[in-house]
Amino acid sequence: MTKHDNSDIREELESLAPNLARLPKTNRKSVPKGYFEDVEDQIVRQLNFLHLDQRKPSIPSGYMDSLENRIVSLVQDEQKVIPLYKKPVVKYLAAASIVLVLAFIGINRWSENNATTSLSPIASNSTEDAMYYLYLQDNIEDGDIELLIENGLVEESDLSVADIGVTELPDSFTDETMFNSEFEF
Amino acid sequence: MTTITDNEILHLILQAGEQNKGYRLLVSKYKEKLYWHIRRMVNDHEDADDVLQNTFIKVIKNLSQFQQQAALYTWLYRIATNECLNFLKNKKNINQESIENTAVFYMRAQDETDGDLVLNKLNEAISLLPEKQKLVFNLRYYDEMSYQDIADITDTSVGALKASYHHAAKKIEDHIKSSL
Repeated sequence: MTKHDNSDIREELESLAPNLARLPKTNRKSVPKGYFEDVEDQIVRQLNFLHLDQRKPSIPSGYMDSLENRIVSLVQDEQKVIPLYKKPVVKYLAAASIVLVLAFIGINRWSENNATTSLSPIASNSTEDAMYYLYLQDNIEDGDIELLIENGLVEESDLSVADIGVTELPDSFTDETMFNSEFEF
Repeated sequence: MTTITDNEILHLILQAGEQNKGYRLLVSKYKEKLYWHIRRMVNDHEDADDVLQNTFIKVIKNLSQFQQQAALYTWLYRIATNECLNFLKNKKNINQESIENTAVFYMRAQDETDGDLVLNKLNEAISLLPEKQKLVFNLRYYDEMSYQDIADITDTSVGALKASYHHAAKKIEDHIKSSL
């Protein structure tokens, strides 16, 4: 503490308050005996209680020295350009595409086979058969029929339309439609 | 006996393993000055002890914020003064009773046993001053500080401090005169 020349303070006081300037400066208030001897201990004890000397948490040695290098390399890794074909996600996408294409082809073929087999019973349904028989009745010569029967290629009973349960044909069935191979169902 | 400098104390506090020694030296060097500065403000010893301990704890906790351009002792006084003013403000809020009146009562009770009428009048007069005037008067009269140091502690202009001190000295002089 820088003590100034007290003379200026004293002179100032004498000019302001001469009676006050003549009084002795004493601390008339009492202090418990030994108080000032214990103050340091009390305060240091409180400081230790507050762990003020451990305010800074410890860090591994050399942590701060290597920190900037580690951060720079992390930033560089983030900024590296990876070619599209090297990215693993592209490989997975390509494999998935191939599987999808194969699956599509397989399903398509299976559907076609199913469609063919399912057409057979439709083609052999009674209406179509009836049309064939009518055509044969109208256009085949008796000699041809006999020849077929003789050779056992056709049974006589097969030539009767009534046998297959068709009594009436719809009006829409004309010669033109009967020769058309592609029927609409 | 050579007195340890403030810089040496600060150096010890910042040195690992020497902190407690530094704290002790800091407290040892300033305990009495700060105690009496606080005691004149709060009157009661128990209160002064509390405020003194809080002051040192705050000083040590905030040493990293201390600007070395300023003198350590003005910084210590500044913190002690703030602690006193906060203490008085809280006490005033709790009691609803004027601190000045309490102080006067306390002084009179004590003075009756001491018997020195003029000195009693001095203490009574000081206790009747407004807080700011009392603070300035104590720092100038008892601690014999320059106006510039008081300005650093109280954040007040030197001109305003001079006016404050002059008013306080005149009031006290008048109070003492009445007892002569």
